[in-house]
Amino acid sequence: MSQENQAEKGRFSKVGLPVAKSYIYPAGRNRLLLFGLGGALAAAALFGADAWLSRGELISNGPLSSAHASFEDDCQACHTSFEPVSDQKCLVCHEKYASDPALHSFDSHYVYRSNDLTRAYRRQGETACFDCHPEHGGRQARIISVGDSKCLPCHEFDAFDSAHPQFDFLAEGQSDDSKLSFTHIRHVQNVRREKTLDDIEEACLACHQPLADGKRFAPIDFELHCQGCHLGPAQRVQSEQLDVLPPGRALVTPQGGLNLGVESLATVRRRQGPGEQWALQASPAEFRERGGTVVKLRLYHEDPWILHNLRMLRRSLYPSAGLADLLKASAQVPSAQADILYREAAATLREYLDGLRGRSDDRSAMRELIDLDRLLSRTEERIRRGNDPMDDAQFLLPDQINPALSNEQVEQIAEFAEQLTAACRKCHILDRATIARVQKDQRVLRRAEFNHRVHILQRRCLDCHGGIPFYDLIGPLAAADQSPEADPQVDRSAIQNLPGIEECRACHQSGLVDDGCVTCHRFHPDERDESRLLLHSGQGFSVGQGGSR
Amino acid sequence: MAAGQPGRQIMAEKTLFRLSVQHQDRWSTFDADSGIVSLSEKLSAEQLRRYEIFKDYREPFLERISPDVTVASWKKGSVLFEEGSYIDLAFFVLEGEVELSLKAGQGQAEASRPILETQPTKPVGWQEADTAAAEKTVYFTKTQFQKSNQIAFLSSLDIDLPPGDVMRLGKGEFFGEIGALNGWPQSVTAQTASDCLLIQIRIPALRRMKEKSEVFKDRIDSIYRKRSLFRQLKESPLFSSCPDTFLVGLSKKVELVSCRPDDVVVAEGTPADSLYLVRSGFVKISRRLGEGQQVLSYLSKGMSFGEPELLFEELEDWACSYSSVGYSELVKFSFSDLRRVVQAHPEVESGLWEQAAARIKQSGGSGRDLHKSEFIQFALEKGLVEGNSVLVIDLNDCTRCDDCVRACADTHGGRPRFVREGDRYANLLITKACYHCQDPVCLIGCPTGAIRRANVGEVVEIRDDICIGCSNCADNCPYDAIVMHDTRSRWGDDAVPKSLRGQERLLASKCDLCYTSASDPACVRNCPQGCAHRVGSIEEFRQLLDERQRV
Amino acid sequence: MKARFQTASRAVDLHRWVQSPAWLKAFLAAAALTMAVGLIQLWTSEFRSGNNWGVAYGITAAVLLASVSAYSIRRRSPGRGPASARHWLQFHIFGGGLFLLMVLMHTAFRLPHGVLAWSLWILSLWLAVSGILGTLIQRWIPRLLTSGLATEANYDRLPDLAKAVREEAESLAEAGSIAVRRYFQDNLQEGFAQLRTRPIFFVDITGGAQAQLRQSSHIRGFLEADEQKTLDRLIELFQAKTELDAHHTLQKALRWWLYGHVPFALVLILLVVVHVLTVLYY
Repeated sequence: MSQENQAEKGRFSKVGLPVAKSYIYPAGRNRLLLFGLGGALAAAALFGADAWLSRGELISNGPLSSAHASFEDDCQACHTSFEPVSDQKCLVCHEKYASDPALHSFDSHYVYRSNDLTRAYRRQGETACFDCHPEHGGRQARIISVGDSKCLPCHEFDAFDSAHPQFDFLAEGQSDDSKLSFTHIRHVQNVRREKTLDDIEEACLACHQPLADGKRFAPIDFELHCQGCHLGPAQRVQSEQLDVLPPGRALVTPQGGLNLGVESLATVRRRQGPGEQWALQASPAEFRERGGTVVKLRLYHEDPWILHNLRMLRRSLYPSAGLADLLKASAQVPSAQADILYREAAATLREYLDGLRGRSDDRSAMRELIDLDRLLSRTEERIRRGNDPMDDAQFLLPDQINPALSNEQVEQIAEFAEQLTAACRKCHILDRATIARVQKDQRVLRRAEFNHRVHILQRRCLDCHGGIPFYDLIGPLAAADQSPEADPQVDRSAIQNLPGIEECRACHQSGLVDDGCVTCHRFHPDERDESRLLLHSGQGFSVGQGGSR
Repeated sequence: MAAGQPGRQIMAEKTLFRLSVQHQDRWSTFDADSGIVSLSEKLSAEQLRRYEIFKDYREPFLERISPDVTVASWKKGSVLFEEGSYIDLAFFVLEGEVELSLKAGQGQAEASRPILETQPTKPVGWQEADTAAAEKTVYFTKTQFQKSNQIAFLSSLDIDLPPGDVMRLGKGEFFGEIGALNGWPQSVTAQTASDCLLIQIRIPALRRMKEKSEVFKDRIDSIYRKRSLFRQLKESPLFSSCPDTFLVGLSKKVELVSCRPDDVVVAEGTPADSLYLVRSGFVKISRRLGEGQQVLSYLSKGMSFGEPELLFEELEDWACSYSSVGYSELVKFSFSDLRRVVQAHPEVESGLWEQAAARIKQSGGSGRDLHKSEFIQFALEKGLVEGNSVLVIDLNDCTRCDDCVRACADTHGGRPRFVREGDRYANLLITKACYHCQDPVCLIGCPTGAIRRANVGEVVEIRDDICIGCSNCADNCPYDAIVMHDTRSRWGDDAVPKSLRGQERLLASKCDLCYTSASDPACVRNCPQGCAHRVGSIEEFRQLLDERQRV
Repeated sequence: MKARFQTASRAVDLHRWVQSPAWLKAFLAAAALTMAVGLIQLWTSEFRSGNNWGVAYGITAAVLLASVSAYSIRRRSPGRGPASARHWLQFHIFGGGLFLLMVLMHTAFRLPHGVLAWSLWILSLWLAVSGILGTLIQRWIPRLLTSGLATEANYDRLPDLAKAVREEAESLAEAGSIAVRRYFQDNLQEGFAQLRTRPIFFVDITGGAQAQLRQSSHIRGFLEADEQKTLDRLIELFQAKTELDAHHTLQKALRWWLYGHVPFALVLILLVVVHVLTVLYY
């Protein structure tokens, strides 16, 4: 290096170099850590003190809802150390749901709750309550109102106003058929006339009477709603003139002959067969027998004499009908209500038994009694258990008609049956020698709940039940030349006049009225069994479980 | 003035006390190796005089150098030193035979090991040989080094070894002194062929012997003149095709020139009459531009200048100035002698023309580009041409966190070996950390030989246990790379003469490239921004500059 | 062909934006993977913080937090750490970014409830933001220092250097003529008094020296040749002092931004521990 460079080794090199510890390890180096540690310890002290001495407010996720605020200080009311929040803690107060965990209807929800699709049973202490009802949301939080986000991951109906399917009743292609010859418009006109009502909807209320809670309406019942005009004391409806079947004769002879006729009251009385107690109570004055024919002068609803004879005719057509004999009407019910059939059958059997009990001297009667008793207890057991799926299979008539009968004979029998039930057929429908069961259950919503009271304040009946165009046909602005009987085609086409989902969507859409899942669907089932997410009554865990009941 | 504490001249020569302890200090690491059977204790002046090599010196002098001399006996078959390693000893054979060979064959010897290998050389044994045999002229082969391009290094060993051959040295042979004195790597491998008895002399003693005794100095010079110079001429592109006898003659006629820093060898415009060959150091080529001198290029070891002037009769005067950058040694050939060579051996002429063209190209290119010449000037001044490993910090990325210094301190017991300060070129900071020069100036003047090549490539290290803190090295270092640390202790009363008692004890320390650890130097490894680079040559520096300026 | 290829690859010179494009690519890949997983979850409606995936994100976030914090340990043990500090820093930066992403995924991108949760969220956000600010500072200030200032000085040396400069200036002023001395006292002395921290250096690296020295051109007319030399030297010293101030201000910023990052990190680590404990306990 040259001399001149030696002299000016940089401008600052003459100043002494601080090769000192303070240069290499400056005080500021540890200051950073000290600040941090100080802050950290302060924070730890703060949170720790809060957790142990105070209410743990700082570490909590938020205040509790106002319903639970009274034990906000008592963490152990819900939490167990080192364990997730357990259902049992909720059930301590909410006992309604404690009596039978199965009522949670978690069976299909259970599997998904655990995130384990291979499991179908519930494990001890598995939590479910807080998944839909999370706490620590603040005083104003409404725990009961469960948001759609809890349901939608599995039930992929994004929004009520778009993706929710049409109601079962209408969607499944079931016809609006109550199996009754009924026309709304004519009836409404009659009621209006009779009660001098201007308002159509007031006429609705004459038959459709709301229950005390205002949510639902009383089911239509013949005695309550129809008897006033049909088959009531004021009307005297009589049957047609029918041939009498001589006593001792069978309808269908072994040789293949056919004796069409009805049994007279005297014949039935004499026989005193099972289920024929009614004959002892019937008045002979109601019958007029003349020259081998009989006319019943006064018919009642579910007239036992007509049903008895109809049964006989049916038996001739379907000799091995089995349990169908126990029913008064046909066996068609909505599948969820198959237990109705069982109940009816049981009632009939009880009647039979009552009839048989008094005749202890009749040996065959005793044998029959024992058999029937057995059958009855089995049926009742079936109803009680409710495990096995109930259906109407055993009650259905077989498809094949008695092969011993010729076609002509079958036609004759059918014609005779029609004659027999002429009066019934004014309203009822006869099919295969059986009165078709009236589909009385007018519930559109089976898995959801509808509250008429809150709706009726804002809407009128016909705003939603708009299937039948009342206002167009008989309303004040209807054309005068419209016949009051209107068009039976129109009238009969919407006989139950139940609204579809479009009616609901008019108001229940996003931005307007609440359209969340829980608005209509109850998750926790009602003991009154009015609506369940599962359609099987009394069912606990359905998937491969031995039964928790 | 050294960077840091002011240096104190502690006259080691005057510490007559505890010489035996010094001897122990200095030779303590040598018998760690298996080859040595025994090392002698400190020999008295009397004992030393018995040996031929010391007989010309007077007793007080011998007493003074005795800590640096020992007689070692070696087992047969142990390796004295290997090609490419550095030693700080010279050897004199008393008994036995030493075998020399080129392990890797001609021209491809891996003479310079990569820095990260830690394989210290082992000291070597000696063999006696006839004194008359010492006059035998022997020659050595050229070796190529990893980094430099075709530079013929002047070996410290004057043995000619055709590939595969083995040479033996016997009683009375003396070798190793040139490499030791100059800090150059060995070019051959030496092994004991039988059990040997050797005198081993460390550099401080060698240096004093050379200074003290004209005889010794002449001997070294004549050996060099006869053997090394011959070899270099033989290997240089100019004379490679000449017959040996002619070269021997030529080598007798040359002049050896020694230059101090900034000496002008030849000035522009003066009559040109000689060809120069650079033996060591660096020579700067410059030309007058306006009022000052524009630096065009530089020459290093093995390069020559003057070919254009030799060949072109029209160029009577020197076209550029040539001056020495630091301390350098040159070999001067007169034109008249050379012209006779050219006449006698026409094949030499083509080589000369090639060199001339190269020389003109070198100086012409830079002449037009002021920026390039500025860079070269800077590089020469700041010693970048010297350095084998310069710590360069890119200031554009450096967040001035001093982690590099801290890492150095942590690796070296809390005392950093450099400071993050130095000259700046564009955005690169050239820190005052040891450059590990090719020709370290710091080695000169160390009284105890504590500062030496670490035998791991070019790393220069300071041995703490031997350093007496005289700060000669710190004063010598042109780049302020050596720091004198205050050890906060004092010399024992029996270690120093009365006048120096109670003085602070200093310790010299400098970067050692962390060669004892298996990874990169701590400064480079610990820079979070990755802006610390160790640059090995001027081309690398250029490359770094280009790369980093782009960002 | 070759030239064109080179030009094209220079079009997006990632080195301009980021110190290590390789690390940036790794980070983007990891982030993309995480978001892809998140999108799949969203599609399968699993995306909420209560379930196992949310916990997995939380655990990943905690692991990332712990490993990037280890960087500070690495910086304090230079000899012993594995891998070069450069790789540690890149991991710290990009790991921190990934940490923020994991925290957001852990909370299912919802706002937190409760003091502890809010503290964690805000601290995480702040750390990421302050970290990014730090990287910007670390890229910007060194370039400012290098390109704008002629000298380079160590932070710890600055007081001594300032003192030396001041002493020289004062002695020059003392020895100079009255005009020079007055000029010095009126315009320059205050500037020499102390090492100052002036925010103006962030915007103007010369610190407004031009304006301050404006008067010197006026006074030059009244001075003789040798006094002019003194004046020149004084101006040189003043500019040197201004550069020292610039070094002081900017290098201080480089050191002090850490106070907005590291202490918060420690508090966050502790709060994460509290969070894990409370979640397990309750």
